Amino acid sequence: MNRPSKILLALAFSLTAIAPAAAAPASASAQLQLIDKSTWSGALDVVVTTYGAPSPKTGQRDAGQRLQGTLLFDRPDRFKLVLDPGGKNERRIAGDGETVRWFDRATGLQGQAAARDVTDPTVLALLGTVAELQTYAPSKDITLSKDSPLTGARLVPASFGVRAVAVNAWLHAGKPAAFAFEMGDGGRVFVAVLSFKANLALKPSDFEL
Amino acid sequence: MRARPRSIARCPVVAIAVVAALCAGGCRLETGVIPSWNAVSPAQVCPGDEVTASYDFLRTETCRDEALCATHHPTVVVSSSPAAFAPRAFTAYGGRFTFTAPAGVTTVGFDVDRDSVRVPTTRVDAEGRPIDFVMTDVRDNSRQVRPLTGSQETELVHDGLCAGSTPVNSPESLPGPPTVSPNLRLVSLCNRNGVPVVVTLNAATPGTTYTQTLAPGDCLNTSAPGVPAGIDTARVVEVRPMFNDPGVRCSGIGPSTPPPALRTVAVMACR
Repeated sequence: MNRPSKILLALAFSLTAIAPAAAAPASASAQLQLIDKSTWSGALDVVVTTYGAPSPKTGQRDAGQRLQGTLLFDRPDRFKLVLDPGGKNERRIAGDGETVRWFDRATGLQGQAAARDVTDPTVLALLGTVAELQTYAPSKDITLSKDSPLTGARLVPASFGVRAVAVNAWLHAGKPAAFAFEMGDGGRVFVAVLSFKANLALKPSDFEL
Repeated sequence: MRARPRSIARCPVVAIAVVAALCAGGCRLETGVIPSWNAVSPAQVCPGDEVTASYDFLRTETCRDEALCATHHPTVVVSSSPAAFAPRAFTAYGGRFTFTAPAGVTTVGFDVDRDSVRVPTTRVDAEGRPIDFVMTDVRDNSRQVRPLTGSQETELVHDGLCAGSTPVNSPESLPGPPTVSPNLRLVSLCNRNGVPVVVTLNAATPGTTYTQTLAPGDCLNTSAPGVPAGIDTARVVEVRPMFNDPGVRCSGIGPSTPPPALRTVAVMACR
């Protein structure tokens, strides 16, 4: 599973978690469900850090690769991810349900493929459904100390064999703050949410590469 | 706000369906492959653990007619090598049972009597026709149950994030269910950073919390005097730097630079 694909999977969960903080329930799991029910479109600024599997000899992970990113999405199936926006390694990836297209600024290469071939099934399912987060990834609250500014929930994808084996979702004041993904290959993807705008009016041209 | 279509993928496997056709009786046939249909949990075990072997072809689908579905039920035989339980046969879309973890590495085999499994689902297509989902390339396979011996060392990466205007390092989960035995307990937690950190552990029993400052390279021993009993059941490690990095900026309204990651090392062993 390549890095952009892992990031897409990570952001698919993130995009279900962008809702107004008003009347947020205390439980992180309930907050996530509320967010999933009330979010149709949005824009996020994120920092994504990807790690490989721990070394089999030392058990240590690598230093990770940290990238800024932006994500636009319009459920059920449109998204546009820009990694390292404005940087020399900028990479743009856009999907419209059936096709995923990409452009790599460093090499000038671009291409496209069928969404089902390059996108994790969980991504497609989470984009395409509303209020079914619990179906795809049942969650359980994580107990933290009273001083923590975070609440958390651990999500375990329901299906055997999906690429993310577990996800920790961290919220602050009812809003998403970060998501940590444990991948089936031992890798880790961490998404820190820096800002977001929910339920935007988006046009098809917003999703052009 | 526009209405959202709900036709896409009731089940994740439908998202990778490759063929759709009409079937006899007016239903619509969808076919696809699934990456995996069985599991053992936990797969890494302590002595005496109960292990659950399970399989599931229904996944997130719902059967629309039990009698009809019964005609499509696969038969699955679950066995072990070396023998840890008597072979079990199921004729159903799903099945599970538990057995006691063996002392050595054990392979649990799942043998299915067909190479595709059909599920008449409650989903309908755009014309209102019921959908039958057919999982293809279904194969026999096996899972290993491995005993945990000695101590297990795990590095935890606590990435930086912003909780509003507060810099935070992510709490991290220690190895545990469903993959790893619930009887694996925390022995020690070490600071692998070049700066002093404050670590907090929350025991499985609500309300039992322990916080300690660790200099670079120092370790917290869960059996040391003054450490509350039961803290070795902790499943989450919280950590923060003793002093904030001056380059960190968390703003609820402007640009933010989250704190750098911190790393701890957990040593765990079966109780």
